[in-house]
Amino acid sequence: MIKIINGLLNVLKVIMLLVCFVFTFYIIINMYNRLGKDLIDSISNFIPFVLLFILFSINFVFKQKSVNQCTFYNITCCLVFLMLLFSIYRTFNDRNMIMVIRLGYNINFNYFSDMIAPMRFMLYTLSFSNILLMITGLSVFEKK
Amino acid sequence: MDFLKQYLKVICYVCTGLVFAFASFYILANLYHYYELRKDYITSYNNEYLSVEIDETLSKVQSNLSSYKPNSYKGNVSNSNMQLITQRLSNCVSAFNNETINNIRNKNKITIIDVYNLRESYENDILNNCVVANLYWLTEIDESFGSTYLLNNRDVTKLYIDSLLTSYTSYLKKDLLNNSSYYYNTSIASSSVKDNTRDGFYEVMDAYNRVAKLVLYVSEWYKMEAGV
Repeated sequence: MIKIINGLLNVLKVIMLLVCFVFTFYIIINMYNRLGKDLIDSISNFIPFVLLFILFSINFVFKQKSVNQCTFYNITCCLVFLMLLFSIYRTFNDRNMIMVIRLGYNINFNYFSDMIAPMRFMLYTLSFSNILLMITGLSVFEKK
Repeated sequence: MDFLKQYLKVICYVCTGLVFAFASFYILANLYHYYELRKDYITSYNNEYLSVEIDETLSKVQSNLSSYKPNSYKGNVSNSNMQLITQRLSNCVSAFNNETINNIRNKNKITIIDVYNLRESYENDILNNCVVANLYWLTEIDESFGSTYLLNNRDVTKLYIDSLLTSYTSYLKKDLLNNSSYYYNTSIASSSVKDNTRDGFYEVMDAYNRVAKLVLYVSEWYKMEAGV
């Protein structure tokens, strides 16, 4: 049962990561365009997504049980992406936030900019945890 | 090596736990914020005491305006000035019947967007088009205007108009614009979101009422002057 749940969570977290990345990319590129800032500066916001995607790919390719079968880690990943998706939904659709009207765009940059720092913190921490879980799964730690 | 493995696991679970707590908090704070912004104030605009008072004040102003008869007028203020004042007071009355207020009249609940629109309309229609464009002359009159009453009250009127222009609703504007940010849900942050619809509605309606009273004050003088 746990194996099935973990399998589902593993697939779900990768899909959610990709969806979050696409929308975050769209919002941040528009945000930087609006402010007239150099788009190169926005790259730092996407690094944690890419890093996490690479780590997830490694987990899948090498079938690392220490990560893939860690239910707590998988649930936390899904929770983080759920939170990001909810924020993205509000960025586009919450018309009760006055800044949407005030800015005149259909994207609430003001709201989303508050989310960038916590988002980066959570994604980097998840990457760090992933690396630690990978290390604990290495064969040098296995009991002989 | 087993000790190191356990040690790494502890660090890993602490980090994951921290992220778990952080994400849970953010989801809950977001949900709270989401629902708080959707708390409409259920009321009928036409039955609100402040809107009734404003309507009564404006109808008094209109009846005062009809007291001036150019052909029989023998007051100290020139006929051309009296006609100009008639036009200015009429402009003020029509400024109160703006599109935003007319839209809200038909509703039986007030949303945060209505409060924002009312506040914007207060700034544009009432302060700019009524107070600045049509009533600010009260602060600049001199002896040549011909009204001792307005001249004697000029300084007090200026104080009142200046207080209107510094705007009672500037804090409300900050709160409304701030409703897109919540950061950590401190008591200060939540107080700027909580019940903002109801409180903001009364705040902005009170500001409308203050301007309506100023228009009434001028129209009462106008009636007195026209009756001479």
